[in-house]
Amino acid sequence: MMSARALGNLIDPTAIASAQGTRSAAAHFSTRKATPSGTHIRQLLIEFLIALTIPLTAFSAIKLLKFTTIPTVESLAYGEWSKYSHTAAVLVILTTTIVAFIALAIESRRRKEVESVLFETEARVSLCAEATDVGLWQWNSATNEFEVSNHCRDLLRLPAGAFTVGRILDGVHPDDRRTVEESMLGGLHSDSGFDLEFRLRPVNGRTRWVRLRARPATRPNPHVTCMAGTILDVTERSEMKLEVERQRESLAHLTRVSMMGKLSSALAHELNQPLTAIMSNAQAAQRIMTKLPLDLNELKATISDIIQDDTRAGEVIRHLRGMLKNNADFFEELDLNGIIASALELTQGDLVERHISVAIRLSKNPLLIRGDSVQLQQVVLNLVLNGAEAISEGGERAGSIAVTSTILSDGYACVGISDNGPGIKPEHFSKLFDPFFSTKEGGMGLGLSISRSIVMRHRGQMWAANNSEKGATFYVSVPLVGKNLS
Amino acid sequence: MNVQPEPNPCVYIVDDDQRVLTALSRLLSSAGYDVRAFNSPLEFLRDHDPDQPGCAILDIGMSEIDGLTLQEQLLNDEVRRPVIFLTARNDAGSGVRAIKAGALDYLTKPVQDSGLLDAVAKGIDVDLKLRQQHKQIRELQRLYNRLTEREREVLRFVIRGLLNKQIAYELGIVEKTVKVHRGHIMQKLGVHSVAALVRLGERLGISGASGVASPPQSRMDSH
Repeated sequence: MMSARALGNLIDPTAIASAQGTRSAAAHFSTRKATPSGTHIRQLLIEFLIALTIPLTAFSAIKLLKFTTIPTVESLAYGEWSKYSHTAAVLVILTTTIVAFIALAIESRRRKEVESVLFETEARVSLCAEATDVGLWQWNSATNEFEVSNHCRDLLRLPAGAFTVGRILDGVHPDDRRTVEESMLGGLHSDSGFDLEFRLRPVNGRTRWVRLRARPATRPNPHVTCMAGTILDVTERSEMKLEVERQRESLAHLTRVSMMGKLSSALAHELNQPLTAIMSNAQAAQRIMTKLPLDLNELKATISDIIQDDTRAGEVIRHLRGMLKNNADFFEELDLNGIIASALELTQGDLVERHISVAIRLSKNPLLIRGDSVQLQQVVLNLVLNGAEAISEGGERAGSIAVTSTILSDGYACVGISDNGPGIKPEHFSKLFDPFFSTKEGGMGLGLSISRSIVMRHRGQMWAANNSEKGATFYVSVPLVGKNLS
Repeated sequence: MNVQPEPNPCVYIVDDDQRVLTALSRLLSSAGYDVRAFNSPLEFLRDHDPDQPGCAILDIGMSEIDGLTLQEQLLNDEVRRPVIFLTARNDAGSGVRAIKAGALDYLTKPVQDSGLLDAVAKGIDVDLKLRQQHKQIRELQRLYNRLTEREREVLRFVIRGLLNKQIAYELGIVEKTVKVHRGHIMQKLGVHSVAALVRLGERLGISGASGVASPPQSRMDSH
C-alpha cells in the first residue's frame, strides 16, 4: 500500500498546474498563495542570519569577558553590583537574540512543512476532481460572488472572471430553475447543505443533467456565510435511469396485455351478456308497443333495463381499456379493497370457466394507500390467475381461491391470495421472483417478477409461502397512508 | 295435428345471469309465450315438471353446472324435452356436442328475436308431436297388454311374415287355432290388415326375430 504521503510526493504540484496551463483548483481555495521559491529564499536568509549570529555572539562575549572582571561571590555579597552591570546587560541581550533567532528558525521550518502538506493536499483534491470530472465551486454570499474550477466553468458555460448566483441560475433548465434557486438560498442558512439533481438549459437541443452537492463552508468570520460544493455531469446516468424506467413500464404493459389476452374469452362473455340483454329487451319493447292498450309500466321497466345493461357493458370496456393503456406511473390515494374488487371482476369469467370458486374476505375498513391503480390491479390479477393456473395444472377438481386483506400492526396493508393447487416446490422458492423463471409450459416467467417490481415501487413487499394443507399463498404488503417511512 | 287439451305449452329459460334471464323472459312473454324462468340450473332440475309441454332454452356457460351437462341430466332422467342452447362463446366444440346430444338448435348471444322465436315455435311443435306419439304408443301398449301370452307369440310370427301353416307348425297347434288367435289379435288391437299389424308391431318395438319380446319402455315415460 502506498501511503498518502508517498502519493503526495509522487505528484508534482507545479507539474500539474503547468500541464493544465491554468491555475490549479487549489488556488481557488487558498487565501495564502503557496509560492515555493519565495519560501525557499526566506528560509535560506534566516538560516544564514543564524549562522552569522552564533560566531558573532561568541566573539563579542569573549571580548567583553576580557575587559570585565568576572564577579566573585564575595564581591556580589558586598553589593558591588554596579561594577558588573554592563557585563550583565551585554549577556542578556546576546542570549535573547540567540533564543529569538532559534525560535524563528524552528517556526520557519514548521511553516515550510505545513505549506508543503497543504499544497500537496490541494493538489490531490484538484487531481481527484479533474480525474472524476467533478467541478468545484464556492459561493460567498456577502459578495454574492462565485469562484469555480475550470471544469465547473465549462459545464455551466460560465464566462471568465467573477459572476453572481443569477448567472448560474440562468444556465438551469427553466422547469428546474425554481427548485434550484430555493435550494441554493435555503442552503445558505442551513447547517446541512443539500444534494440536487437537475437539468441544464438545453444546448444544441441536448439537455444535460447535473448533480449539485453543497455544504456550508466554515469561515473564520461567522457573519460571512459561505457555501462550497461539487457539480457533476450525470446526463448519461440519468438518461439510462429514464430508459430503464421506460423499459420497465413497457414490460409491465406488455405482460398486462398478454394477461388480458388470456382473459379475452372470459371478457368477451362479460360483454356479450349485457349485449344479449339489451338486444332482447329492445326487441321485447318493439313487441310490447304493437299491443294496445300500451303497457307503459312494462315499457318503462324495459328501457331502464336497457340503460343499466348498457352501463354494465361500458364498465367492462372502460376497465379493459384502462388495463391496456400504456401510461406512466400515476400515484394517487386509493382503497386497496377497491383495487382487489375490480381485479376480481375481470377474472370472474375466467374462474367460472375453470370451475374455480373464489372466497373473498376483505378488511372492514378501507385500506388507504398511495399507488397506481392499474399497476396494483395488475398485481392482484396476476396472482389470482397464477393461482387458477396452478389449480388447473394440479388437476384439482374442486378448485378454490381465497383473497384476504388485512391491516398489519406495523402500518402496512396486506393482501393474501391463496389457492389449493399443488403448492410451490422447495427448490423453486429462491427463483420464484426471478425474471424468465417459469414452471408453466409456455410461460414467459415475467408475471411475478413484474409484480414484485411494481410492489417495490409502492415501497411494499411481496413474498410467498406454502399452505399447511394444500396449495400456496402469495402476500403483498404496501404501506398505508400516514405510515412514516424514514 | 290435434291440440293438447292439457296445460298450455310453456318455455323454460335457464340462465344464471339474472339480467339476461329477465330480458329473454320479457321477449318471449311479449311474443305470447308462457315463460318459466330459472336463475339456477340445479333449481330447474329440481322444480321443472316433465309433464308440462314446451321446450327449454339453456345457457351453456353457467357457473353451477353448464348447459350441456344440464341437458345430459335431463336425458338421464328420461326427459326428452326439446332444448335450444344459447352461448356467449361461439366455439364449435360445444356446438357439435350439443347437436349430437340432440339439441334442437344452438344460438349465439346476442340472439335475434326472429331466430329465437322460430326455434321456440319449432321446439314447442316438436314437443307436442313427441307427446302425441308418446300418447299413441301408450295407448297401443295398453291394447297390447290385453293380449294373452299365446296371442303375443302368434303376433310375433305374423310380424316375421310366417304363414298360418308355419305358425301352427312352430307352435305345435292346428292352423285353425292360429286363425282364431289372429282374429282375436286384430280385434283387440283394432286393426284390419296384416300390414297395419306389422306397422303397429314396429311402433311397439316388437321385432319378430326370436325369443320373448318384452314390451318396450318409452323413454318419454318418466312417471
